Amino acid sequence: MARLIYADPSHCIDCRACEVACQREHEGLPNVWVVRVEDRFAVPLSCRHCERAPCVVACYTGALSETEEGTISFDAAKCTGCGLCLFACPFGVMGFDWVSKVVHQCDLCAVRQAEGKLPACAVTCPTNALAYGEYEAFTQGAKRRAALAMVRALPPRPAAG
Amino acid sequence: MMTGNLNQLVVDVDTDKCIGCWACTHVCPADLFTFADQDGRRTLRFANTCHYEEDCTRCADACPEEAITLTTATETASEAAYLTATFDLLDCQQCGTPFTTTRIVDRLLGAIPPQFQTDAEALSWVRLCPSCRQLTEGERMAREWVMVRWPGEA
Repeated sequence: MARLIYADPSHCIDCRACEVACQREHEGLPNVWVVRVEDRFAVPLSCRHCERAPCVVACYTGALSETEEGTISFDAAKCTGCGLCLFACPFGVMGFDWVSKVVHQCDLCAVRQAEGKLPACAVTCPTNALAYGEYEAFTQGAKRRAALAMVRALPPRPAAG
Repeated sequence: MMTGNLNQLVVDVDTDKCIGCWACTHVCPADLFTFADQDGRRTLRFANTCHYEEDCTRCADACPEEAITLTTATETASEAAYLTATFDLLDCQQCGTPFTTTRIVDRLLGAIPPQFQTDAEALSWVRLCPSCRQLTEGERMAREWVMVRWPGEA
């Protein structure tokens, strides 16, 4: 199972530190976006590294490809700047670099990882709304929180009598 | 020193095949291809002669529809001429902003992997601009979280 960035919107406070950290690591180009919903919720979105990803299907030059680990990798040298992947992504999280005329997408901070560091958004997030790791590890925490919420919502136990 | 015209190539674009993407406009080192979006339409302008480099085939190689053919000119054109093609842009179903050509959307629709077609709102996201796709996904995740956290509220 690939190690990816997972988001728990219930912890996101819309501070956008992840966006700033991501831009710092990627020459000013963001690959994570915090979407505000109804002024009450904030949801951080970035590339999900989909299986059989539409962006990879749309890319006819092999610039976007799926790695053996199950992540999407991008090779700028093969990118024609056609923009098809921008409109193939169901989540709208591909970016276009109008200076280099190629797309950009979450690379899980490959440069940082080569230095033994974690992705910038996940280490920067002050509330751990973003986490980097395996799916199972991330969902365990989320399942526990969901179970707790259900238990708390139950009516109080009637007094024994 | 050879003059540019001796290396002249004839650029032929099949505008029936062209889908109006940005590939040729972004790979051409001589900027012989340009695009402009205006009033819900995209206009691509193609130079029909090129004398950048004898063996440059970047535009023909980059075209996803193989709509560009390059041939060596048999006679020297006296001046550069341009071909234009106009494409309808699709309006985002949510915010109304024209965001890409209808031909690009048609090409993508033919290739969307099945796991993105199975929900009740199958493929409605294709007709949303990237910003509205982000918002839609944000709203979906927020709804999911409300149901988990406050089961009564959703």
